[in-house]
Amino acid sequence: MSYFQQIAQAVIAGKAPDTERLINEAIAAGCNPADIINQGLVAGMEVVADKFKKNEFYVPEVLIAARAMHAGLAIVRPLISDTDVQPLGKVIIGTVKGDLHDIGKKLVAMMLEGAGFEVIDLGIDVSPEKFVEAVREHKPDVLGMSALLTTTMPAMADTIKLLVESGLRDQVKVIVGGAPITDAFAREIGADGYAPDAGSAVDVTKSLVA
Amino acid sequence: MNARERWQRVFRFQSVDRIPNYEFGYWEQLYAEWHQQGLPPEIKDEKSADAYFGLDTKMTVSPRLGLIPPFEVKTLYVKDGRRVYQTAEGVICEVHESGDASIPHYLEFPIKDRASWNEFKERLDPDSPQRQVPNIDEIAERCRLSDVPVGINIGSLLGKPRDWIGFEQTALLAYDDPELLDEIIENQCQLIIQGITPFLERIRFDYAAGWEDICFNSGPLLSPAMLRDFLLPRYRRIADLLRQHGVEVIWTDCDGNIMEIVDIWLEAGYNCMFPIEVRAGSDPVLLRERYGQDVLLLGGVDKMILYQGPEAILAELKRLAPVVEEGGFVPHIDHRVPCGVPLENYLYYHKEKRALLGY
Repeated sequence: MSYFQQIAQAVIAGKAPDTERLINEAIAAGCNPADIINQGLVAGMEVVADKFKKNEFYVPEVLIAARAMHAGLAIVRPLISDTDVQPLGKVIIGTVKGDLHDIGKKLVAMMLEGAGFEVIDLGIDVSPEKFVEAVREHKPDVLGMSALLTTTMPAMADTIKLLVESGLRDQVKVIVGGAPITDAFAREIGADGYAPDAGSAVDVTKSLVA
Repeated sequence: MNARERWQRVFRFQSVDRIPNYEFGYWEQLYAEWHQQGLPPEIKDEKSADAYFGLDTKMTVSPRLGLIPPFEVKTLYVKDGRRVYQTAEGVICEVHESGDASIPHYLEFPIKDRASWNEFKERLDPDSPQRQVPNIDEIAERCRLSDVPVGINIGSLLGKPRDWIGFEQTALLAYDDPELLDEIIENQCQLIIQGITPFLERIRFDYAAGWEDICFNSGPLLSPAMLRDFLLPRYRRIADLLRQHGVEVIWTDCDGNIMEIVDIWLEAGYNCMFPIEVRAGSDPVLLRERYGQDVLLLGGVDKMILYQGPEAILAELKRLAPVVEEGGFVPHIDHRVPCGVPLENYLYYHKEKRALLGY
């Protein structure tokens, strides 16, 4: 098994110390750090996302895998320049105004990062103005909004409306998710995509930046 | 037939004059919305609302299964429209100062590691004399005379520890220190068994109600295999004790998609599912198809149809009607009625539900 495959396996198993050890060995053996990220860490997290989507993995397995990935990234990142590894795309993510929950949103952010996206997490209770300001500043490919409550769902529509009024709607794709959100609601408010769970969010985001 | 007999008979799949009429409850802010739509101003809490909508009542006895003593509830600071405070369970939370409905943002949890658990568990001593209920015989007499269903609160094995440890930290603990998680759950189990026993010895309960909330819309917090290891033997100990004392209906409240872990509850002897959140993927029709009369059902009416109006409400009730008619099912909205539901729709739902229940 190649170093890359072993690193991917260590990530899938959520073994951070093994991931670190294998990466150090791979570097010593002359492996390209960018390949370690793409063929090792990201490849491993892709399997994790897929297993999560199929209910073969659950939240603990995702968390320990993400922890292993981050442990590996901490070693490899200093060795590469920004041009060596291009992210799949840039995603801004946040929980909408009025909503203070962040579990689902954090899982999605973790999965996207694991899939190779650059993720900017704006946190919770994010106003439409703050989302729009972040889109203007960071120029993401995708904006992801999360809501847990039926009472905060309208903030998603408000944000999309403000993107339109600010002339930014054409520059960013919008995906939405959260317990009360449906595909029909996403279409109704003019979002480009809807993801029922964190695993699917990666697929939807990939399809939007393809 | 009184409400207690009706409850017992419906969950034994026996004939009844009508199905019991219960609901889960209402979001606090909904009352103000409905007052604007004609709800009388004196209807401002669950008890008055239940009476206004003509619902049945039941009586739940609660042994002292919580923290003794609780933490001091105190505001730590207010900033940018948000209040940060300590709960009675020692969790540091952030909420909107305005009181707008949201699940709090949890910032810090009291159980962080074994050392903090050792300190925390002093508040969970099953042998604490303060857990004894001095008027237990008086409560028992009231229960004996009750003509409404009488139940007992049977606490939580994992939901409470998750609240004290934190969601992500609980998930990680399952891998990083499973012995510690197991010890915390075992302490809960002992606390529950010792807490409910004096009541079971005196009172014949119609139901036992626990609480977990350990599922999302994509499934359980931990894998079914892990839940089986951590929870099944303890659920079984609790259920066996309840059955020895004649309790026929046992559930543990769990929102989200429960379909993958129903087997565990049924195997343990927790035979009733509640509140069966339809939009999350739990479904009373599917549960009955899969498990037949081994499963009892409470809840299971999709709350989201209340936004849509009469056609959707009627369609949902018709979908459930065959299972209601079969028995062992008390249908109601699958969680608290959310804000934004028009009162008119809710009244229509009640009118049609009463017809379905056989009024």
